[in-house]
Amino acid sequence: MLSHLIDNVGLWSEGLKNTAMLTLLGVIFGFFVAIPFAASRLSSNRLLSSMSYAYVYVIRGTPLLVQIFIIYYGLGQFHKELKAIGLWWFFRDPFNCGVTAFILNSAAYQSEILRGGILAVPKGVIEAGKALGMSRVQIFRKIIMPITLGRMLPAFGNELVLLLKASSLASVITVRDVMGQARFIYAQTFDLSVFYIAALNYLVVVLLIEAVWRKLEGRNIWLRYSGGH
Amino acid sequence: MKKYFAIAAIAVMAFSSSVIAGDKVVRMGTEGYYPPFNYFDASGKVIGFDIDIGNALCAEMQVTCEWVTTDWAGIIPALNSNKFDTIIASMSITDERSKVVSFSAPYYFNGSQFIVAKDSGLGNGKPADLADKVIGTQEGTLEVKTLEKFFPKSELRLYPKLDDSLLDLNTGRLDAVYASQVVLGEWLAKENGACCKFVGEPTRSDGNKGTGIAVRKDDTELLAALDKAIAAIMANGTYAEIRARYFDFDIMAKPKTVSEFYK
Amino acid sequence: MDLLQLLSFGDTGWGDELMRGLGVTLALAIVTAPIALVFSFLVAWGKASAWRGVRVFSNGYTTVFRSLPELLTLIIIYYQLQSLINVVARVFVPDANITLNAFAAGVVALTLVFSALGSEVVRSAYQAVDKGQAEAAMALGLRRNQIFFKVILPQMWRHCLPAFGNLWLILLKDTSLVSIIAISDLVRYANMAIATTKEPFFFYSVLAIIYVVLAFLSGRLQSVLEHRSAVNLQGGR
Repeated sequence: MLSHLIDNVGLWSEGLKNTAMLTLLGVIFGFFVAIPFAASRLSSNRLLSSMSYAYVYVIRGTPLLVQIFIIYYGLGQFHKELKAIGLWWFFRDPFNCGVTAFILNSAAYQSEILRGGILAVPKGVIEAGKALGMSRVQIFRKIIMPITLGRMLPAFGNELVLLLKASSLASVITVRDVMGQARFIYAQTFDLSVFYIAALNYLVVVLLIEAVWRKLEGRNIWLRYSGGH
Repeated sequence: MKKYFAIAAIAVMAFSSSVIAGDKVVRMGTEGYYPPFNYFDASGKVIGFDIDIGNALCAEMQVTCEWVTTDWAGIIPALNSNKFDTIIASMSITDERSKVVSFSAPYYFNGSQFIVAKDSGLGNGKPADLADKVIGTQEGTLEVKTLEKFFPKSELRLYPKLDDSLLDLNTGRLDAVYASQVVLGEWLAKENGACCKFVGEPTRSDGNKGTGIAVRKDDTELLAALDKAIAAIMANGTYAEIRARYFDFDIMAKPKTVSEFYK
Repeated sequence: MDLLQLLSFGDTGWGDELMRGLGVTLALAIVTAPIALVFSFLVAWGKASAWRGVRVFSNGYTTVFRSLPELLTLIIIYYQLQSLINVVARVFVPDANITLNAFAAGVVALTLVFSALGSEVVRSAYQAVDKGQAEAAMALGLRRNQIFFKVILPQMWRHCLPAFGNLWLILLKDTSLVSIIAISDLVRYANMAIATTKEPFFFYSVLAIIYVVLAFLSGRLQSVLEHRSAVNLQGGR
């Protein structure tokens, strides 16, 4: 088993790099896309909130594999139209398609996390902000967001791990992440141990993320804040 | 509680384990995504040249054929873990594969060729023409080795099924697809293949000793029977009849090897 | 419309193949769920065991199957399990040739993953039940397994249900992964249809609709179950 690791160190490290990029880009951009969705869900505008509810419902109800196929093969069917509006260069690349699918997927889940966190902010703290004369934007940025992010830190950590595992699906559209490299080497050697190496890769990264997250949670005051429940 | 018993009963039925005793049924493994050699008809049954040859061999050996399909990437492990007894899926005989399975005598020779978009101007399909281009093929095939060795300057994309690469060639994600000239030829003749054309010549990967039938290494009895049956159908005209149904050229002719062509 | 014709039943349409695939998808989920449920309790029990070895094994089991991508787990189980079975069977019957069909391999792999996830749900539900309940039951002279099955478990249900409902939805979606190891579920039949008709967007959209409907129905079922378990609790008082 070790020989497969050593002989192919270049492949495995490229795989890890791709896995990391897919996951991080998905989670980070997913976060920013999630914010407007969470805001629409919480808004009093019925149309807006039902549209984002529908979006979240569909994303959460369908397998990520199907979502990836829709973006890669489905949009590929419309390459002529996409070329006409100058977007084909982006969707031409399987890595980009994978990242897009992950961003859209993670955004739906993260918007629910944000929504839950925002709703849980104690009313008293917001009123205090209003009493101090802060504008709505200031209240959002300086009170709501820090409390939400702090409170929902464990949930975000969980989402990071889930997206890491989901990134393995990009291998089905030819992306050479850890899973993709494992399949490539396996096709040449038929030695199952390559999949055990891949498994170790994922296990180590997940344990690392969890260790880092525990540290972050330990230093986070908002997690310990339970007043106003 | 009744609900749980019912579910348990379904579970037991689903775990259909079979303890195989006699040799009357030979299970043939194939893929199903490689027309005209093996593909699915509208009712989901697998048909094609490989299937017809397999059925003819079974008739010759006086056994019943049972066809099982599986994905290409896992077809050899599936054979070795006893999910079926032979692989008749246009698998090329190579030394590397011969380490894990045994092969019969070849029943045809497959050459691989490049197809590109009609207006792409990619010359002759030689390494220089395809430098910095994206080439697609199926993962786990001999074409992968050839491409890695002779086309280091091109970007390689590997697909679980050859079909997926053709979809991507159509949409322009790939500049070229490299695969069996017979399979690609079929595709070019169809509506979706109207976009594209062959370049270069069909060549055989180095180390490709022909297309054969794979069996487990310890299944020497079946291997001998298969070889005998192959020789028999080639001698008595059955092979020629099946071949004529699919191809109007001699598929036992050996194409040039890759090293000769890409010197 | 031309596209809708592709969904017709019979030889030219793919409707009947998709229905067959849907059947396999549902069968996988329905067979896996109760088995994974039982194993969730077993693994959770293992985590609370007095023996260190059992605790370590249960925790390790959970960590591994929670951290690995389901696709990877599926592939490893699919290939490895067969050789394991052959090895074990040969010990008893030298010439044995037991084949594990792909469906069973899928069930095993999914069960391993979901029992690991489920054991965490069970553990937190168990901790959510007031300790006083167990003490009162003991004071009343109930035996240990009576205490668990008649007192603790019914009260755990209310806490487990939402999380198990969530896991069921994830299970339904994860069955799509078996299409990659050549089990003919909904996604695999859709791929076959696409190979012939070259209409990926249409067929994948149809798949999405089918899955959303499944999710919707599951959500309804879950509401009903949650309602019933809550009603029982209030009635008791």
